[in-house]
Amino acid sequence: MNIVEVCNKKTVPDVFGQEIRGNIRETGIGGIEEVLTSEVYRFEGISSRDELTRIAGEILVDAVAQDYFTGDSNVERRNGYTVVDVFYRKGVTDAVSDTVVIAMRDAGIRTGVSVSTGRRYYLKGNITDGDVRTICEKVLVNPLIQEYALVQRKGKNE
Amino acid sequence: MNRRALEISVVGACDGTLLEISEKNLLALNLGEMKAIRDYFSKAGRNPTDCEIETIAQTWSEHCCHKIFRAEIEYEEKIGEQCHREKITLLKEIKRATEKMNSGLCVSVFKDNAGIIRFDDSHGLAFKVETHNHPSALEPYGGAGTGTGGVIRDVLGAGKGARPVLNTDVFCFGVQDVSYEELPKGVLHPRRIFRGVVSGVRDYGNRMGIPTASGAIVFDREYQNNSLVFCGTVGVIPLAQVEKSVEQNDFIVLIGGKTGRDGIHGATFSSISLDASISTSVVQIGNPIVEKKMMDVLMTARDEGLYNFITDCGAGGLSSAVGEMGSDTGAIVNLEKVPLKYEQLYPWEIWISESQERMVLSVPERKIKRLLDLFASEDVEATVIGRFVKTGRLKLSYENDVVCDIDMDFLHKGIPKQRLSAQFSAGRKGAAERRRVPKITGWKEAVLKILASPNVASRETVIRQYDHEVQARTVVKPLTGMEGKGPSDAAVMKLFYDGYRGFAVGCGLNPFYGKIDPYHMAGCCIEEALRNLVAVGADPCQAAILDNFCWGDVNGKKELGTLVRCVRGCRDFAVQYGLPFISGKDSLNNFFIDEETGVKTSIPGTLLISAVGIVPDVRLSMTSDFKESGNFLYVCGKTRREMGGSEYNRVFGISGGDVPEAVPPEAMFLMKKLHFCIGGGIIKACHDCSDGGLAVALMEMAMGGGRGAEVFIDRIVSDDVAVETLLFSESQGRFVVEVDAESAGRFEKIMGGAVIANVGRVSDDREVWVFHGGEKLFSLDVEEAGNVWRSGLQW
Repeated sequence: MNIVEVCNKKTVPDVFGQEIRGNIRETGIGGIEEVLTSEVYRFEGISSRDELTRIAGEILVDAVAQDYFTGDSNVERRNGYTVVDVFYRKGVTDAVSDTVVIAMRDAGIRTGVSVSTGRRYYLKGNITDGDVRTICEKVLVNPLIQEYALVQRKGKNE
Repeated sequence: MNRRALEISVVGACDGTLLEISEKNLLALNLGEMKAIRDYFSKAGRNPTDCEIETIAQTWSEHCCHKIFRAEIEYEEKIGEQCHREKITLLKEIKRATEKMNSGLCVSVFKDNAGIIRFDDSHGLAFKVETHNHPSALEPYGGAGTGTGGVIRDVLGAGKGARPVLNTDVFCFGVQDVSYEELPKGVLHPRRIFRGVVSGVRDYGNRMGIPTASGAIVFDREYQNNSLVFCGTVGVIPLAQVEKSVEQNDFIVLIGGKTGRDGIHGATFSSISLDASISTSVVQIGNPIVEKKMMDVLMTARDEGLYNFITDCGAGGLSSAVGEMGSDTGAIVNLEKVPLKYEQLYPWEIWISESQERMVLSVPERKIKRLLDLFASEDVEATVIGRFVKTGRLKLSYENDVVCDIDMDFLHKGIPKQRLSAQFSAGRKGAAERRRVPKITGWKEAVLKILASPNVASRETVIRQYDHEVQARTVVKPLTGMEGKGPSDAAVMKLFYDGYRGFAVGCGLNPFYGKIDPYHMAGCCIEEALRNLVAVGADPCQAAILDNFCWGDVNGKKELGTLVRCVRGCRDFAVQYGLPFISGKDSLNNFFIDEETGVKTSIPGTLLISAVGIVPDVRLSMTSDFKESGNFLYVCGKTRREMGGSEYNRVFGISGGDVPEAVPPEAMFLMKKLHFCIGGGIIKACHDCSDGGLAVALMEMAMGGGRGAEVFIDRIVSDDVAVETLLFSESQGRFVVEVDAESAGRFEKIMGGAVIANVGRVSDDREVWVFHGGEKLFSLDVEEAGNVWRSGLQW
């Protein structure tokens, strides 16, 4: 499985991340200093890094405002953050992934590929494991349709 | 995987087993209904398949069949010493009101996906408002988005298809400052629901290229566990395209999105209470781009006359759509032909899935090729899945296996009629305690506190997220004034670019009145919706309304009694105002059971009245912002001490009081005259008095115009001299009107016989001065008031 991550360039404010930070504060958790967000695309059926780079560059990224990363290179770059991935549960309609598949077909890049889309959250601050769980369950995830995975854990209980 | 239909053993089953089958399969069928199914299949000499029993459950669901509204109800009402008994069927009462009026405005009512009224000699307006409450409570973004998508398809499926030109949105949420600890398991925080719902409506409506320009939001603690989401759409349709009928041997063509497991049991799920154990499959996620493409190609197909009938694939999925279309003929469907999102769906899942962005067409053989070619050329799915045949049966097959074969008559007429009892009792009018003004620091502070109340505060944070101008038809927008700082009473749309005829859309909603008396809530909602239209220039004699009833657990006699009383109010007041109901929808069982404590909570009985009215000339449409200093201000209509359920009482924690009562003859007399004045260009600004009373209406006009005013409230015609009555009573039938000095004499002459009072003037000093008994009561800086008003609703 191959991953493409798309996030704002450093010079572009992450407004969604700021909103999430505010939402976290409303739950009573005060240790969050920064929240950064990115879109994550998981591809099944593509193994070539060149092909992935082409898909990212031609379809997924707005080159003026965004950067893209393949694999976990962005997570490695941001090693001071707790990182959470949120994806739809299996069977829930993922309209964005449908659009990506159509776009790949229309661009003549690839057919027969399965894509799932999600969001990656980078949480900076002194937060406990319990805080992370609360943030996921009350702010980041609707457990009815989504599931989350802890990609990287940094903070109090490290 | 074996994808054949399974047999469900109902023949010979005892009552307990029947109920168990209903509950286990989320069928939401009661014992009487399960027995009817058992008897039907006993006669057929076999058990039903899963596909058959699911088909019946969808068709007989509260959502599709409106069982409570069709039930025969023994109603008993006691007001003080007065007792009244009658047998009533709610749906008949609503329809009877419309029939009684026999309005020439109505083109198609209560028989299609949306009500249709006459706009001009060649076009009609289709209007529908749907609820999407349960889905939005569970997944606010997806639930509200698909609510919008669904109601757009309702309008696309009205007649042979109306082109959507306006969306509306009305929400009821829990209070935003509740702590997380107070929330039961499985309930999302009201702030999260609020943001998710607004985002869902925004993203779907904006991507469809349809303006969202009219709406309302109510906050109350009792909506915490069951929020309400009403999505509406208005469309324009050539009158020649209103009539439609399925013809024998027509092809059944499924268009739009593919089918998956999403939304399975949506129709039956809306018939049961919420708790923490809901399955993922009931949630629907929309894809507006698919619907936008479908909408565009559909309009071409309609104009080319390529199909005989169209309907939305909404609650109950193909089961409801094909079942209803083929009710007079019969239908054969090959389920394996339905395009799927993924494999491994059971036949019954394909049949009842509520996957979004799908519609069903009935296409004559000679036009099928052209239709399929047209859809293919626009990259929109269109698949022949069966035919309408004159058999009177619904026959479904999956890969050569027959998975359903039932009689259309049984499906549509076999449901046992419910017989229910309902009671309503209340004290005599005026018997409620009349508590006077609480100790507040001053009238200025009272006004500011009410302006900051979430139920009165500016909706700008929400409005600005919607594209309310796309299509370039919006004449009166949600915010008004040179700087867009005041609220509009209703949206005005100009329909065609080569004419000035337009229409206005507004609404009336006040569940707080209903907590005291649902009958008068109905009167107030109907009148408020009409007042909103009149205030922007619509003709009160060319308007129509839609009802949306959202109620709690109507299995109890008392709660059902409040619903009956509300319906009686709708019937009586609609007739008195001459407003035909053209469409409606009920959403019942909006209650929540806390899994941990077992405590049940219900929403307050909620009635939304949406109104659409003709604006003869949009160039003369009216806005609420003050226009020019020196102009006179009139309060039109009589003020009564009616503080029950008012914003003032709620903000200051005052209980009791009489709920406002609409007075139709008085109000209609006034509104007709006001409309005449607006049409004559005499009036410069007009605003209706509703939530927060005169004080709020005045401040909103001042904020919109960026001007102040001098107002002498003791000149107001009122049955009470108390300051709080004059400032904050929410008596119906009232407007604040700005008239220039030159036209004042003419205005007063035209308004002769109506209750009006010249109460002061517009001023240039950006301060509203209020006087009482010759003394200054308070003054309030317009800028300060605006800041408070705009900060009351946090995003």
